[in-house]
Amino acid sequence: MEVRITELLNGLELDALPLEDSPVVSATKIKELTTMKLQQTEKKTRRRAGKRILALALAAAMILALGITAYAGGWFGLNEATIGGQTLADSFSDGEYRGKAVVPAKVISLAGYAGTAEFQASREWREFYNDYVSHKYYGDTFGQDLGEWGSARHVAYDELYTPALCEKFKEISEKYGLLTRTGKYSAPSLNNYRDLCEIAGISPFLDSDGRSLSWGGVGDYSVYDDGSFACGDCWWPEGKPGETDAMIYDIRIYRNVKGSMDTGFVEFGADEVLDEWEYTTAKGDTVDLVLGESKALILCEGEGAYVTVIWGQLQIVREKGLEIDRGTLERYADTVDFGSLSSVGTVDWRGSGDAYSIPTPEPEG
Amino acid sequence: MTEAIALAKLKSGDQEALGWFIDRYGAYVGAIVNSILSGAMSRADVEEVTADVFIALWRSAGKLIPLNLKGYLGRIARNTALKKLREQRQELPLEEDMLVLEEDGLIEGMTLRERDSLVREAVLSMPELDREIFLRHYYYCQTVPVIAEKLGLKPNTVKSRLLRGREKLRQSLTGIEAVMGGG
Repeated sequence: MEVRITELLNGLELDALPLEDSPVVSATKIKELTTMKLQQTEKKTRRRAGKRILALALAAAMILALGITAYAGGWFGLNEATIGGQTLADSFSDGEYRGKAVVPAKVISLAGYAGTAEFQASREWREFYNDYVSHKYYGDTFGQDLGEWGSARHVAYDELYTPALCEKFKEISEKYGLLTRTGKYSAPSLNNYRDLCEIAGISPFLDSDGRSLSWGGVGDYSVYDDGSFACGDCWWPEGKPGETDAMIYDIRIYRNVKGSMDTGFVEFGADEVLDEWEYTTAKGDTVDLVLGESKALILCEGEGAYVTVIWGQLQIVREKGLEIDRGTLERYADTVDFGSLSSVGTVDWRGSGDAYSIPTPEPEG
Repeated sequence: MTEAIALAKLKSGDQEALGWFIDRYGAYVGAIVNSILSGAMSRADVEEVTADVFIALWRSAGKLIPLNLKGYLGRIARNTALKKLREQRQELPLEEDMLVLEEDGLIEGMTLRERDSLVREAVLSMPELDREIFLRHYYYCQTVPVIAEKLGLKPNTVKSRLLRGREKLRQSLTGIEAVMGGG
């Protein structure tokens, strides 16, 4: 096992480190820069809030004009995050595998809503990726054989495993001025929920009542150097924590920092019946909730990040006899501090994460 | 104004309190950032990163306590500068940055906090001069010639002290002692 000494020292805080103070930068200059940066942040926040208010006002005017209710028409929430109507699925013919093919689906971005750079980039990427995989790469390959080149590189973003994919990814991220992640930190060294919060630089966001398994340090965590992360969670809506049959076990929490390129998505069946509504949590955060047959979602946008919570495998949960309704989802939403999850974090990249870069494309062949 | 009062004001959103921290620690933070970035980046980059450190202080004030804020700022300054360097694909001019550990070493399965604590103990247990040389090199990324000049030592002496420091750290992280040569 090899570790970098410089990275081992990332967490060191000593008050008497031997280094001479030297006025290489003037306090006046630093004050000017910090004031400017803080003003820029405030302007962005005000602009976003203004856009939101304007969008709501326009939507309200349309609702009045059309005489319909907002959610019955699907005007808010999920439609704003829908990036496409197709996804990839394995295809078979006469018992033979025929590669990946596009099939109808409702595909939701994990980063951004309509009109944002993150959303546009996510949509363009999804269209390219679906086309690429269904026509050029997986056509005669079963089981996602990434090959030597891809296996060595796809750790950065799961879907970057050929030079052509890397090239397109760079092109889209540059087109929309989005940052790409260059470091990832995950198990086995990151196996603690508190470490996750510390690295992302946000306050703990799960209630410590024992109903959320992540407090036990069991979640499946990945955190990136921009403060984005994904983590797993389990939750007991009823019964005693620890009882397997009373547990909703397939919960994933995604925090995608604004200004970064992300390729994540979640999909529903094209004909799946979805119930959508807006909810204000016990902690005062407004979130969009979506309850489908296969999954449930909680969507939230904050100053610093887009947050998506996905409950998967709902059919299995229902087969166990657990009731999943609006109230269940709202009770879980009440246990999460979405304000913290979507806040501007102070990333503290202190661990020995895998540093990487999106590789320079080479001729494919 | 005391540090505790300044932090309380910072938590309440008082920008003057941020100015107080810049006056107090700006030279310290600037020196750390400059130590890591100088030679690879411009003075404007050093100023930019130094400002980012105080923006980080502003944003994280809510979770801080008035205890060793200088140490906190030092760590944030170092890590922010190293991140900037990494983004620019710049390499650090360090002596043997990689430490080879046995597979079943003590740090396997540790949380970050536990590992940080172990590393801290190892560094603090080094003889004073070894510790200073070790931290100047691996924490502030000063080169061997620079350290030798600042401390009035021969470069080979600095290198041998660094070797001892690396071995001390390796022992602490693996729990295994090795027979050392002279130095």
